[in-house]
Amino acid sequence: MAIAFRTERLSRTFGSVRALDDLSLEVPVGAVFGLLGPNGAGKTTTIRLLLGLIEPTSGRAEVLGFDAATQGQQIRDRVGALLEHTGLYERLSAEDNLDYFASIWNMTGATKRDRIEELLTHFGLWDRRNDRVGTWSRGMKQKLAIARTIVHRPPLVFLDEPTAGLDPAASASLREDIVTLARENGTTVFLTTHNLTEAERICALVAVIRGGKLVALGEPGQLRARAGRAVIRVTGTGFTADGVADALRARPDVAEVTVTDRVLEIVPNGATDTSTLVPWLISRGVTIDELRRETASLEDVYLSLMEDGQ
Amino acid sequence: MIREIGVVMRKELKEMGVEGGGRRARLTPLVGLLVAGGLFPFNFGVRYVLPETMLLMGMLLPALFVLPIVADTFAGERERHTLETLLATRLPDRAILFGKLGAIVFYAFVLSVASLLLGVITVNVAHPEARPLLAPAAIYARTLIEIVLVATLMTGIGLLISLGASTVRQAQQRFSMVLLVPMLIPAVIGGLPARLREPIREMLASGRLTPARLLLGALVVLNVVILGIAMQRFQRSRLITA
Repeated sequence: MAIAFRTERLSRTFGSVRALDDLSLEVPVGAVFGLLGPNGAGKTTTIRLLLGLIEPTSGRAEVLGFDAATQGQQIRDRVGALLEHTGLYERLSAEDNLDYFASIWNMTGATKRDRIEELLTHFGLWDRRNDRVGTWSRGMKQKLAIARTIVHRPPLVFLDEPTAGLDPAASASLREDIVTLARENGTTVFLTTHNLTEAERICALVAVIRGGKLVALGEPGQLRARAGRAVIRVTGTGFTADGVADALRARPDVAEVTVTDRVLEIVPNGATDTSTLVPWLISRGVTIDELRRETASLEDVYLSLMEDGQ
Repeated sequence: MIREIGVVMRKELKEMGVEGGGRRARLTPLVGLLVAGGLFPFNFGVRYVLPETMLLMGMLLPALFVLPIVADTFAGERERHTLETLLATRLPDRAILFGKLGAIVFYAFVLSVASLLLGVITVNVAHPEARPLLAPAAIYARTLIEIVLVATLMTGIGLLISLGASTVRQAQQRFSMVLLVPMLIPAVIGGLPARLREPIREMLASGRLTPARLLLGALVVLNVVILGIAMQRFQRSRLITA
């Protein structure tokens, strides 16, 4: 499996603050990788280190086969980056912005013009291409910034909170674009986000950092499974009838039961077959309105990891 | 590298052209042109074409056009949050530095030359009795060299200040302080002991060293020093964490 980037015990301190502490991870080519963490966790520092914009205090990072500390120029030659701010020149038009960045990456003539038209059309910005970017909405600017990031078709892109401040429709559209980028073009995406639902939907691999330290790394499903057991939540009546809760607890496939007036929560012991559970409950006089198997979301995992650290 | 410098220069010039919504950007150099090509020559009258006046114009004109824009180079990019994105591109450090420098020097040079031409028209219109009023070609050639050197020096100093400033306002304030230094030069020279002043006076009197040659020589040396410092100080990591 080819590796897009890896870090080995990567650390960076600013004065007395350890912004990144022994970060070790490895991301394969073509994956959408999500780096999650609260503000000040070290996400932006990680991106800056991988881009070779700052040097590590210790450890090393390798991006597309290049050492980030000594070959930053070669890395920046091959990647695209949307950092904390859109970084657009607001006095210039959208077309001029893309033209500048395409020229930086040695694109010329018809290749450049066609690519700019393709991207502006794809993001629905073609009709406003001659407007000064400063007059645009945040959503439009963010789309243009993404277009700028991928104008030269880089094999690896860094997106620092790309959907921050966007409305739900714009966010969904952007998520779709990111997935398409990885799926159809084989681009590796390094994404930082506070939106855990977003990370869960689009990331193949997720890392959580807190205080500069890596606290979890894996596929979203793996992290959810690691976080805790699933819960079967039954809504209905008759749960408080004599013997129902005790009989449930006696079942070998049930680990824990919590009963309230209208809700029965069952923590299964391994794989509980709900198709046998439903007739079992009905036979004891329970009326079922709804039965749902709930697993821990990435948000639950994240919050529990953050609580552990406090 | 040359190509990349050209890319940065083109973008910088484009931004200068549309700054502040266009009207202000076009008005600022226009006012400069009217003052430098209209008011100055009108006040100087026939003396405008004298070598001494040309030497003075070679100092004043580029300064007039560099001053309003140079503080914006890096401090402006930092203030508008575009600097980090620029630094994350494949552009080499020197392409960014010299692209910005080249754009401002070019802008100042074009407007300075336009001011000189306008100045010649102004004095000839104002003094028809003395027409044609023109300085010798060699004086104009020397003035053009001087304009390039002064524009490069002022831009170099401005870039250095802008590199370390967090806002445009801060850069402008620091630059204003630096501009006080040349005003102190006569006082410093006057304060020199006679044994140091005497050789200079003798060289100037003998004609081996003219004030113009002294000035151009000093500008070349200062340019080398300032650009050397700017290249040394332009470091991505320093700019990101500043």
